[in-house]
Amino acid sequence: MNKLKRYAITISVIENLDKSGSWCGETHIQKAIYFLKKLFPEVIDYSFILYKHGPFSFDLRDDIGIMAAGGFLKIVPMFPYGPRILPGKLADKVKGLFPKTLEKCKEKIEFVTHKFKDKWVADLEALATGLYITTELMPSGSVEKRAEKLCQLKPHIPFWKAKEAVKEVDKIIEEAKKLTI
Amino acid sequence: MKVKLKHEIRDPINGFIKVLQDEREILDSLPLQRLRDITQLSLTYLLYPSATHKRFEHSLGVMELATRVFDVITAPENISLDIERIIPEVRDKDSRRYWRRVIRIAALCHDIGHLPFSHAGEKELFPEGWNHERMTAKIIKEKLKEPLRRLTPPVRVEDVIKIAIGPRELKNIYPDWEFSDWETILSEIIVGDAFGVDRMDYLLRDSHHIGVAYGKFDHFRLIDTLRILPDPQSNEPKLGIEIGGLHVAESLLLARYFMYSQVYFHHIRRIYDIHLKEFLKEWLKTKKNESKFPTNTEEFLSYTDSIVLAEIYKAANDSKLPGHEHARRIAQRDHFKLVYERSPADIEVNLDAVKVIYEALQEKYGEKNIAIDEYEEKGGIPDFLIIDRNEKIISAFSVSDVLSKLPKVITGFVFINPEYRKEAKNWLDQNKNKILKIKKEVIEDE
Repeated sequence: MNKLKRYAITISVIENLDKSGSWCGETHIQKAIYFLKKLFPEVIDYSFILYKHGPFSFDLRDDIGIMAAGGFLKIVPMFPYGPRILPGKLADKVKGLFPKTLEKCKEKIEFVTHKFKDKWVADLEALATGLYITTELMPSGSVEKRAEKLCQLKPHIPFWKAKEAVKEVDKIIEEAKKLTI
Repeated sequence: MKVKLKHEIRDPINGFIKVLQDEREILDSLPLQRLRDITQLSLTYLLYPSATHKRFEHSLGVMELATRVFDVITAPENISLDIERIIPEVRDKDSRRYWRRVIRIAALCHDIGHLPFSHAGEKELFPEGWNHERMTAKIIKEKLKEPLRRLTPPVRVEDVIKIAIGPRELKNIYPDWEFSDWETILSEIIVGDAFGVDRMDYLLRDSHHIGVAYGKFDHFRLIDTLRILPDPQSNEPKLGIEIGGLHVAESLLLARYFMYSQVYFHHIRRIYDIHLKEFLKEWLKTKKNESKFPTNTEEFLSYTDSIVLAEIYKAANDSKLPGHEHARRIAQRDHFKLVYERSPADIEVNLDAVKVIYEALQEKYGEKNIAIDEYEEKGGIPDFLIIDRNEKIISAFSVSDVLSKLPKVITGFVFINPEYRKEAKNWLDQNKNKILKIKKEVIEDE
């Protein structure tokens, strides 16, 4: 995918996260784009691995840094947590190059960002790792088995939270199917 | 005769580097000794004459610094109960001893897959799907498995590969290998963005040899303040620092910025990388009819800077030999000259400014007379955890004015054959604005 098109979609995700009331830190953006990729692979294709706070894309991290340096995004420090990441002065210029693309994926971006509106880093980590296990490691595993795997991969997450996250992942996958048909 | 249990190697950056007797077998092996003939900074010595140091001493330096970081972050007085619970490896003495050895060897071996002249043209000179990290993993597996077994305690080859390469690159080589929190932290000690000792050593070593002061920072202080900290938002363990190390962490990041903008991405250094890469492509074609280095371990290890340099001088003196033109430009220091450099004002007019100027110059002066080099500094927002004086864990970005204003290096250069430079500069002065407005960004909106 063209670099500028990738930027336009990422900016659109960030705008929607911000509009829906999300903190809009790097983890929020990483996990929202991971969900977008897994639920609607035609929209965006970053490569993810299991790393910080669950699935993580180094390429997306690089893009965020480059977009911020180039004026497409701006970084707002927030005490005591990590910074908020918001659209920058050139955001509209790059989005303006891809009106059809953005219109086509608008509903899907809104679906994902709406799900993340009130989530914090700990919730996002459990949820995104739950999606990783469900789609990549144990597609037919029971809720308990997947929750156990989640705790094994992320020992700092309690079992009850892992179980809730896996159940929520199943629900989101079902709802997303309505948009893919 | 008495066997020496420990050897000391003098080093301008780290004082003395200690090597244990059983580690000597690895240090003396061909993959490590080959690094004595791989320059750290490629042809940078054509710009900064004393930049002739090699990957061998850098590898020793990374081993020494990785060991120091390991010893600091696993010292019982620096480990909280929370961290002991999440990472059991830091509690157990045998486990600590094992992983200390793993990180030393991983640090020592992390660069053994480099091509001659290090990074120059790596992307185009390795076959598709290969890079120096994958080559490093292959050499460790094929050449160092047995020596690793003979260490006390024996070390698993997979652990060394994991920690030497890190999760980002390893995913492309062994997609099924997973990293535990502990392994993630260990690999971050070597290749990490914020506090990786690979970077610490090359910044210090390169600035020492080049003779510039801005790559230096107080790494002794920085290493002493490193800690494993639980992320306050999720409890995930991460590498962070005590508040007392914040200013030196800032100076490390500033050092990186200055070294990248003034040394690593200096336009003359970059054009020599291009001439070297083009020479290598043509020279390699004469060997196996493909412009790539071999990935067969034996063959790969036989290529060093000296072998390539001999071929460059041969080709420079014989116009019939492949790669003559680029070899001559290197040997006679007659490189292409800068004709256009990326500017933020041009980017506001055209997001693809460098590329459209490059294409316009190619149309006007011919493809073979123009070269392009674009680079965007990798790495995300420079943020990490710090523990303040009240034992509260916070984001460094939220309390550091330096981190929030730290620029990133984004470069774009267009070069031209020197005989057309003057004319092309005048032509570009007259036509640049028109080109930027008329030639739209290459987009595909659907």
